[in-house]
Amino acid sequence: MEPAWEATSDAMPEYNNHGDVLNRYWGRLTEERAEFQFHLVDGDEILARARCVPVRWNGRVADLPAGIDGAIARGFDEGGANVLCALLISVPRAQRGRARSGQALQAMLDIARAHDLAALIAPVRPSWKERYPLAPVERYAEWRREDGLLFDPWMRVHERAGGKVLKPEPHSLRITGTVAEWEEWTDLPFPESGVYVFPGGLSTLDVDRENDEARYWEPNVWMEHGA
Amino acid sequence: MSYEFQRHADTFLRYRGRLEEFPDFQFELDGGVRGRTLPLRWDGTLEDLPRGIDGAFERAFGGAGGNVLCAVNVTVPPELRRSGLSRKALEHMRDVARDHGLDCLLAPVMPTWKERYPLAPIERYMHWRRDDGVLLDPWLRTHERLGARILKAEPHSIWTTGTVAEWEEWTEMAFPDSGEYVIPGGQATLAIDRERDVGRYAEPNVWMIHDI
Repeated sequence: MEPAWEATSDAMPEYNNHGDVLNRYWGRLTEERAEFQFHLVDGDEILARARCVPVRWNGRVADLPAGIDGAIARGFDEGGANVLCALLISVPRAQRGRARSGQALQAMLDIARAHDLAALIAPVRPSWKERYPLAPVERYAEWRREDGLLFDPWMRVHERAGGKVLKPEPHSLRITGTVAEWEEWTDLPFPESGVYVFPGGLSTLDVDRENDEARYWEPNVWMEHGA
Repeated sequence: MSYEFQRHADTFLRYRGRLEEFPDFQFELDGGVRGRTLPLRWDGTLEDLPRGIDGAFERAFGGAGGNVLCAVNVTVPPELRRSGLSRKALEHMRDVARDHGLDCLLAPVMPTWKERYPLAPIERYMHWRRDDGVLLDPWLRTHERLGARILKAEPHSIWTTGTVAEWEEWTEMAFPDSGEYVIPGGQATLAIDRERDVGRYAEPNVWMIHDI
């Protein structure tokens, strides 16, 4: 486990490691759902690190979990899992641009099939959303290029693999910290209360100095792949 | 001037080439550090400050003479950054003002870290200080260390206007919807209006004064 985490530790900004709900459950993935966790490897080299969890879902948009936070909670707190939910595909910087994430996505689909799960659902973290932190994810999720393909590269990989957009989720991953914690995670001082953009942020950070709290909701886009 | 959009400012571009009409106020120091300044008329009140750099250019080239020196910019070769040369250029500007019998050096300061805080109002940002009491912004700090005082924030110092396609080219981004966008190197947000096919951006500055 250690080498894989190290190999991909540069793939995500630091703040992303501090999810309020996600961190409560994350350690249990490898302990209690080990058969759904994997790495793509080439010899000793880590090509991608992947996490997913089976969840119950009745196939309706209204029944989707409340973002990635809701998905991981449902995966552990509710029985009757019938679909696989993607949680993470992380590719080391040195492996970028080699379609590794697409390969990891295919491997997830294989795992879903092997466990007779009906579909793979994914709270997709749009990779270019950090360039558009002020754009509502409801709008961003619909942006397409002139050639008709989705604007966002990671959503495009999902669509090419047969995924379809179910719904944008503006409140997918909640990350709350003290002002000092957020200053450390982002290497940016926040001298007064207000809304800030920050490096790698998919949306804005709400800093409340009076209550010494900074709140961030990471947006995702729910996509579905038939298994 | 390191971002493409900065090469397309509305007023700034019209006048930049004419700075040589004031040859006594342009200089180059050892190491290739360049300073650009303009003499202009100012009655010493906040109300009479020019509307940012755009306003300073219009006033200086409007031909009413000058009683103060206005800093326009300092350019330090990239390999010499962090060597204190920008500070030397500011000191030289004060010398130029003194040598010409001008009353003070006025500077519409472009805060270097404002691009990390594009959503912060410049009126607030310019007062931010570190725990040790000095100004948070490095370039404002350099001015303050040399004895300059903050006079006023100017949220609309340099206007840059273009079509949506032009802004997409300058920033290498796409702007599919109307709305506010953060852009690389932007000290404030860009307002995109697709219906009118226009993107408007105003660079904020902070007016500071150096007594001489």
